[in-house]
Amino acid sequence: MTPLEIANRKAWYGSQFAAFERNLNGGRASSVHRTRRASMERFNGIDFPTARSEDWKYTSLDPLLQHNFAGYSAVEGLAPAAVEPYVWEDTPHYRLTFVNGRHTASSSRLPEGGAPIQIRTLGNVLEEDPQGIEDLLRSMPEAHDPFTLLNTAFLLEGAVIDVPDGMAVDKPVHLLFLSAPDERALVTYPRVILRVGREARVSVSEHFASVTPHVHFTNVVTQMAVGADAVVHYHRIQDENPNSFQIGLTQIVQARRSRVHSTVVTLGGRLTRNFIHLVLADEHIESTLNGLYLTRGRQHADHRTLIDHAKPHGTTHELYKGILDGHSTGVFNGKIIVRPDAQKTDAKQSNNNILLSEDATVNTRPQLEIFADDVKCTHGATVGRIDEDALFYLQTRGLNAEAARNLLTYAFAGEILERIQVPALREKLNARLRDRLQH
Amino acid sequence: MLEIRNLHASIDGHEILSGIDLTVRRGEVHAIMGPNGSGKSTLAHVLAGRPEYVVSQGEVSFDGRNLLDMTPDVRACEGVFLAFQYPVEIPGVNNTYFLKAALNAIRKYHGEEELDAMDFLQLVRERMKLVEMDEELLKRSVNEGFSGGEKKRNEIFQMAVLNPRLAILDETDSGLDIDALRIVARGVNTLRSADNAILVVTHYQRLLNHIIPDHVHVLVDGRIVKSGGKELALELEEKGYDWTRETAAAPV
Repeated sequence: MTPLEIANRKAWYGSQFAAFERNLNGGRASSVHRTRRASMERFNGIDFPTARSEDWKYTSLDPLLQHNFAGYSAVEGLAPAAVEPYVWEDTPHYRLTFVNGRHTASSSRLPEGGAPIQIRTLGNVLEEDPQGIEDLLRSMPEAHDPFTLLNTAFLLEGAVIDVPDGMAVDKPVHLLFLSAPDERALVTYPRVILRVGREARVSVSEHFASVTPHVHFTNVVTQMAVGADAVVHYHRIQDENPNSFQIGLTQIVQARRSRVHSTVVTLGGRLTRNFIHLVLADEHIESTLNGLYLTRGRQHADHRTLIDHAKPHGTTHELYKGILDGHSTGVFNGKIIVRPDAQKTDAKQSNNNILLSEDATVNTRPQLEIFADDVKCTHGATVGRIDEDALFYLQTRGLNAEAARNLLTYAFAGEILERIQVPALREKLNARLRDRLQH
Repeated sequence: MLEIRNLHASIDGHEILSGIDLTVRRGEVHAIMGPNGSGKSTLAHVLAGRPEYVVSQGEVSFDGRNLLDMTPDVRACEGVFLAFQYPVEIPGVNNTYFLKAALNAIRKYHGEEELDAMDFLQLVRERMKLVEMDEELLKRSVNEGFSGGEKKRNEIFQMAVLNPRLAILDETDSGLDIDALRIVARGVNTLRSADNAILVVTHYQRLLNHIIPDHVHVLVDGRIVKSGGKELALELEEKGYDWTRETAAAPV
């Protein structure tokens, strides 16, 4: 894109913000709105990144920036029957459903009084407890990229989940973000805020899907503050249609002896950027970051993680796997910082990729910045094809070439899926994977 | 059952098999012996359909049908089974799941109904006993982390479940201690019948003490230079392969 086109796109978001403000009415006087405006001003002061920017070297934003996305949906939710295919059957769970960014109460299932968890929509919390939200925003790492700034500028709807100290949440939480067709191509700015108290346990899954193959854009920010000795299972499923765009930032700040198990599964999207920024803010923290991306056609999936070992005795294990077919492209960038204070850090990172076609490509890049001397850090990346010996072996037992190839691909992906602790989610993803592998 | 006529095969432009003729009838056990590099394993893999090998001349028919025209999976469905010298480790593919998929693919090929989980499990339990295999191995990924002996037993176990008409055992004795060798051989002997045939490819005679062949062929430089009965194996053990080389070179 030319500089003029980029300037036009920025102006477009500026005009959208003006329209957004007009619709807020009374909300414009709140302190949160000052935060929004400040964010918009910072957005105006920077440019969208190009390939010259180190962090965007392998991901071109051109396909995304070609669209003028509109910010408001005319669609009022979806009928429960349209939501049903995405719902976890037979598994008791809590659920918040959003359609085109708006909360759809009829398809949500909220905890009743006395439940070990509080789940609210951001819209409600902004009215009830704006100060709490502001405090949390300030406690998280500051982001400087244009998309996070836009998300904050348009902060309005999303999920706020609070787990009090010592509470083990009895049911997993399913946050369902559905996109339905609208007269215009829409952008949504969901914000998920998760505050987990000391010694609390919770499982949260964010699931993004589109009900038809229309163009849309999801710009999502998730912020997670994990208390001491808490355990969090976190899942991000990107299953939006192959014409859609998604840019997501997940910030996780962990306190002493807490554990986070994160799994990202990307199946959809024309262009997906998934960035997890993990801060090990105290000692004896353990985190696992797992990822799986399956791309085909013209899909592009960019996964990056920034793991910040700030304190001693931190353990992080990271495994991202990619399966790329067609003309699709993938990027993995795993950065690990070990600060001078973070002695006895144990960080392990792997990224393994299988290319199913001659035209698929992947760029994988580990980045280790180690400033402590008594640490154990390993990283490894592989890019390969289906193992021909294994393929032949399976064929000599009677499986045809396609079945054998699918079985091997499925097995490669299975290593990530089998680690998911929510059976309903694991089964749904297994079924999606089987669908995908049968072309 | 198996007719090989003037078979020539090469890999990366190097000819390995230079005119093999061999006839195997139903109910027979044939041993193919020969020194390292003589082409024994190549013959086994060409029969199974390994794509890296190019057949430049000759014919192979299996029950009157052209075997060389079939993909490896069709050969398997028709009843050809290769027990690998080096069974492949396949992480993430469960042994039981794999075997069930294979068995049902073969059944489907023959227009038979797929076995349900119960019937399959019963069959598997029964066949495991043949090779005294630990049931734990069924729950693991195919061959992953198996010892050399466990891998070889797993091959014969698969053979027992899939029940092929022609089993090709490629150096099944290599890497086996004497106890494991006995177990594997007993498994093979139990599967011997008047309807199927076995091709035993081996460097050493010792396996043939346990699996007694009807015919022994000596392969040298890609050709069968000598054929005989089971006593030929003993003669080879005594005199070494150089002896066959000399006889082969001698004018007839």
